[in-house]
Amino acid sequence: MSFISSFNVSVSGMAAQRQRVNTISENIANANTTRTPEGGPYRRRIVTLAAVSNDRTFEEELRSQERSLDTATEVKVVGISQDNRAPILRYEPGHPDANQEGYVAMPNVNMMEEMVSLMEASRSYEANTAAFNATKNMAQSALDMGRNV
Amino acid sequence: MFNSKIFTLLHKTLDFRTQRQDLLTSNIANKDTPGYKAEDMVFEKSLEKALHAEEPGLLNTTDPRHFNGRNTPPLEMVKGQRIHSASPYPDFDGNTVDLDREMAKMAENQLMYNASIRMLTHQFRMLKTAITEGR
Amino acid sequence: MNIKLPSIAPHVLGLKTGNEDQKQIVDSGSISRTFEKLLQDVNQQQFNAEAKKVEILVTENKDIHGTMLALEKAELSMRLMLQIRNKLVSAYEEVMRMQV
Repeated sequence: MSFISSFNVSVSGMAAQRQRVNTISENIANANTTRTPEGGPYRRRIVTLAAVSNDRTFEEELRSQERSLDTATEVKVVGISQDNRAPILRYEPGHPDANQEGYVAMPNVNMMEEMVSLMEASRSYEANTAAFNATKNMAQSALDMGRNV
Repeated sequence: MFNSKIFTLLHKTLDFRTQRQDLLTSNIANKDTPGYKAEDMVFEKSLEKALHAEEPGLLNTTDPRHFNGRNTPPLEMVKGQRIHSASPYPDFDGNTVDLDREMAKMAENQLMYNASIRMLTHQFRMLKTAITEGR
Repeated sequence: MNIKLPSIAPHVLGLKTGNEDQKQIVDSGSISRTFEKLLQDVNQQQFNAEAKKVEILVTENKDIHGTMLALEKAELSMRLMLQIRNKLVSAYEEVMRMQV
């Protein structure tokens, strides 16, 4: 029974949440970007997560002993897509990017939503860190078993 | 010297808790994965059953693979069972991970693992003392 | 004693006297058989401990508590055997000291 898989799982969680934080920060930074290279206002980015079962080769399967319980499920970012909801129209006739009616197409970024997501992703990241430390603590205590006997 | 059930029991407990740690960390890592179902593992009842399985009327066996007329496996062969830990508030995307509950379970798992290590160390120390008679 | 155990037996069984005849006296039935079994057990534990050490070093299965367990068992069973050996030797020596 090894702790390595637990470590890998927690690390994958940290990486995924960090990606979310990066994406959310990008959304927040571009909340007012009305002009993009591909045309139109900035579109909100969404991170898509998926669970990854342990992918082992047949040889590893044969060699490993009690793997009937495949217990570790890592997480992975499988894509960063664009939120295709319509941009928010704001009435601002003096704006360089205003259309004929005086409306500017603003990014479909809801600041409140993004802040909440940011806090939540941050909390998830910390939870993964705590999990990692818990596992490490267990492994360490197993090592100490030989010490005081 | 190491045939007493306590060693097997402790070793199995450590194995189970290591596996459970896998499940709990997976739950936490997949807290935001759409459709992910939180899992847990139970083994204490199975261990207890295997411990008290010295019933009369056992069939004679000469090979560990022989059936001995009862349904409970010997202590070494007990397997843990995976279950779904249903959260009372699943997300709209089907994810059932409740972060606070998972953190609490992980704290318990860690504590029990460390406690089991201590108990094992204690067993060894007792044996060592008995062997060396304090000299 | 006719034990063909590989690693530790020769060193441990050196009952300091080295005399074949005198060894025969200690060799009576159940004691030697029990001790033989104990030696086999100790040897097995040593073997397991070695295997676990190699496994944790070269494979991906980092079984920490399993390895520690094997190491402790090996050490304790060795201690037990040595202690018994010491007792056997001192009992033997005491018998030899008896005035007849």
